[in-house]
Amino acid sequence: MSGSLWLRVPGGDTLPAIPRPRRGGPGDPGRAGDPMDQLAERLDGLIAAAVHPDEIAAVLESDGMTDEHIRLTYGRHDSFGLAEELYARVPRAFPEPEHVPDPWKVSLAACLLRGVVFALPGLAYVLGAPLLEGPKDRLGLPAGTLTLLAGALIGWVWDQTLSHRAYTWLGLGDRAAAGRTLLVGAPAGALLGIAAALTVPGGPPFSYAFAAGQALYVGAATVLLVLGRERVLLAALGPMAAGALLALFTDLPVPVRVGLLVASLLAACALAVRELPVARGVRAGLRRIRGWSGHRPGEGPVRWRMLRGAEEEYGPRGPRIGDSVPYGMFGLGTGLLVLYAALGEVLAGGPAEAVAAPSAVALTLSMGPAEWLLHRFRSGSLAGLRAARSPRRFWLRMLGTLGRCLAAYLVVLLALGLAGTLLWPGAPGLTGIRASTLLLLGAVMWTGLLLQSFGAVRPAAVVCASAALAQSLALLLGVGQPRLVQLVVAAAAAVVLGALVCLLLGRATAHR
Amino acid sequence: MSHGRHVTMLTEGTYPHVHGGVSTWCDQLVRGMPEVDFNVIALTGSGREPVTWELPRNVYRHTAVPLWGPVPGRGRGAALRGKAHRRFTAAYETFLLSLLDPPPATAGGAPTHGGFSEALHELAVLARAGRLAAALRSETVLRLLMAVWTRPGFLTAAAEPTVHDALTATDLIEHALRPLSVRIPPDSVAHAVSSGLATLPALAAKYLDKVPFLLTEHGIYLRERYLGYRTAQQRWPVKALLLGFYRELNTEGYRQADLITPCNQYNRRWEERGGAAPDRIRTVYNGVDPYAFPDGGPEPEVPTLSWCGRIDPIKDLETLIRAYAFMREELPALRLRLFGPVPAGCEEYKLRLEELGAELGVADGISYEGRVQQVAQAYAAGSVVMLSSISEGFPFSIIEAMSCGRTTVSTDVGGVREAVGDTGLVVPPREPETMARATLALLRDDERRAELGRLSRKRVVEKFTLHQSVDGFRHIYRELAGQPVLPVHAGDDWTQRLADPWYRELAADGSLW
Repeated sequence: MSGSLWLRVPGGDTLPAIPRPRRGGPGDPGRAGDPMDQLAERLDGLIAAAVHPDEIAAVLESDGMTDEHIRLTYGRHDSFGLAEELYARVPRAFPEPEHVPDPWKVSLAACLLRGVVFALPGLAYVLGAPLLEGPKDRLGLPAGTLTLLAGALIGWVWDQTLSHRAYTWLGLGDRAAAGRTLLVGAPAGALLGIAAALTVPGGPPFSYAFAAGQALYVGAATVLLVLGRERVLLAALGPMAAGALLALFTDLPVPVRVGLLVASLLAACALAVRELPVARGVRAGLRRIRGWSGHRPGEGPVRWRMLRGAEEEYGPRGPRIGDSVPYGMFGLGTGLLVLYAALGEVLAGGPAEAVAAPSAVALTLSMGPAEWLLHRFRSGSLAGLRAARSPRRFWLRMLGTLGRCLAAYLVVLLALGLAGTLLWPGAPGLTGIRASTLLLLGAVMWTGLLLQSFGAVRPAAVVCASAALAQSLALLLGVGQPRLVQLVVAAAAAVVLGALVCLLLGRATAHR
Repeated sequence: MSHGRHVTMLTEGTYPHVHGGVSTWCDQLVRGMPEVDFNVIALTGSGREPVTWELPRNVYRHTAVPLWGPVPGRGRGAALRGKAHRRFTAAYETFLLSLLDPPPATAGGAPTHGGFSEALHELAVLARAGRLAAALRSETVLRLLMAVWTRPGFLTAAAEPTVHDALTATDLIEHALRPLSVRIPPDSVAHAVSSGLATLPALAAKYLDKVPFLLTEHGIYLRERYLGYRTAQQRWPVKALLLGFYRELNTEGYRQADLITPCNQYNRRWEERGGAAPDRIRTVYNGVDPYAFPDGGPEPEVPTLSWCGRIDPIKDLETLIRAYAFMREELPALRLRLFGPVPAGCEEYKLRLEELGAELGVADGISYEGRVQQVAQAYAAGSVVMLSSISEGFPFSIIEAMSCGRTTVSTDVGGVREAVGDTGLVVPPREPETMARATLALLRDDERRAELGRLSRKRVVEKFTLHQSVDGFRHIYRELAGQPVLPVHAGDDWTQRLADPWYRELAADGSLW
């Protein structure tokens, strides 16, 4: 009768499957033998797995066996006496659970799809390139680059923070709250991205329009990705991607380019709005505004509403702002590192041809496999927990899994980098130092994401942000050769993050 | 000091969030005592469950305590260090040992608790300071559990516990102990309406603030945990630890409670087995309102069996359908009407029942009526009201049917025999043929059936009215709050003595019944 919150079993499973007596079982005069033996035989599995005699008493009673019946048939005083005897008679056995679920199983295709969806918007720059024409800026970069970068970077940081908040609500099983968070956060992020772009002077006029579209897109994409609508987002990107591919071969007229860009943008925004509880959000907002001016509806018969939370607050508690900010910091750090990987040499005064775009593209595309490998790691470490009989044994197993997953990621990344360099027209060659930087950056990203997925986002954010800061300082002060600086910073960050992973994830308690 | 007019009601997964027997009972109690202020503390899953009962005015505060929400406490910086850490570790080790190595319980005798009480006291102090959850999530605790599990001589060592088992078990214990941090107003009476986790705040208040503690049990919590754990997907060491925790917590509740009020005599067996002192157990039966369940009037023209409840395997409706098929051979006109909803998860069970009816060739006589608004009419719709359950506390459906002046045929489980007395027939569970024979005898004897129906209503009016039930608790609250203790005589007639003066006070207060 009392409902337990623990082991919420659906009604169908409230009773253990108790083997029924066969026809001609105990109580049947036609069958000889000790009724105790027969009972012990019938309930053998249940008795052997019991942790206490009372567990058997509970089973006997739920089987409908009354004390009267027990006295008559088995000559024991009550179910407890009978249970104790059965418990002593049958040796203990430890049956393993029937099926062990692996919550970290995830489809590779879904992860690859996410990687593609992350990277695909990059094609918009290809499609929009003729519109951004203008004199190169003082760094020799194409016109409007800094405008777009500022908007993208700020949008990215904001949406990392927002995603964390929405995912936390989803994790608490409150989809409505996640929807509300996104409803408020995504437009705010878009506005922030536009504002950031506007603060960078000197871009061609169209670059501001482009940056505004980009900011809106980032907001819409965040909504769709958080709510698991990758396919929908991919479909929305279709017109733009097709146009970009076409533009590689033929020269598309400007109105067509703009039309395709706007079509994709509108599609993404419309689909995102469709996922959000817009009408309810507006109504709630109006109600709140009216509540400020109007009377307080607190006169009803239910007093508890007002008193709730008087001393202690056990009510719904979402993510704290302080918990979400590190996600944004981590996003900022990694974003800057990727940026420097692509533009570092140019920013340091190198030739414009040194834009290592393939590295940035490879890192973005590799996010799909990276995500899949993060799941593989969690799956592997869970298997390690299940197999290990001591914390030390677990640590060793975890290290093995870690090595395999990281190596696999770096191989994928290197392959992507090589392919990109070969395919990209006029890309600088993937020299030893560039390849090492790419791999070290990959290691930083993956271990950082790993720490983040275990909730240890703070150290990951600190390391990545410090690395980005060090590189920015080196750039501003003109210290060292940019490529070397990149290599050293990436290597240092990778070593620190690697050590943190071994230290933090070696503890079994991190894997709950 | 309280005057018994301030009560903190502790529930787990029931009132005021979920509908069901215990919730109905809580609602009756709260509404029946408009002069008492109730502070309802409900243990829930996420803390975001909607309130499904309308709370009356005298419920001055309602708090939902989530067991599965974010980690409570002071967060970072709450980690214990130095002496405090050593002290916690020692207490937790005692705690674990008391769960895994309980001294053998002697038949009928109370098992001695191996330090569980002291350890829980220590943990309660930490929980109130907001440091328990963080302490229980540390690596030390995990290693400690591994070490305790694998001690030579412990059964769990043979079950080869893994690190994953230790992590799972520690997590479950951490969540289970969260209610320890909940504070109860020191001038109130703590009333836990089930054993187990709901007693944790009451135990903490008892240890630290000497708050009087009343424990009411409807079902037997521990028994339900034993049965419920079979479907959990956990290895044996986890099961042993968790069920050990429930067992020790149950015993501690029984030991610390100032009074235990089961809703039937039958539950006493488990309570005394669990270490409750017999002189602190007092049965307070559930009650019904004879006005809400008035005399059902004439029987239906077609002989009909009526059944009321959830369509749930625990109700063993297979037995009822088999018995019905048996009776149909003798009485072809007989109908069986099943009133009540199919809870989520039981749809398949209902399909099985329909198949069984078809298989036995009696499907045409069985009707599934679903949830009904006027439950009293469901009882009145039967010539006899049936109950075929294999487990019950003190079933409302039987006393409600009796209040409607219908005699009953029910299985001998839980407190059914106490409820029915000699005003209906009681048969062994899971024996369709015996049930059929008993029912047929009643159906064939109009005079006896009518007489038993009359006696049924009389029995309810005399012994099981809502009024008496609520009065019993009103008296107990006063008693626990330090009012003079009235002597308790054997049997349950004491509930009747109190009826009159309180009834007037209630009428003056304009109570709901």
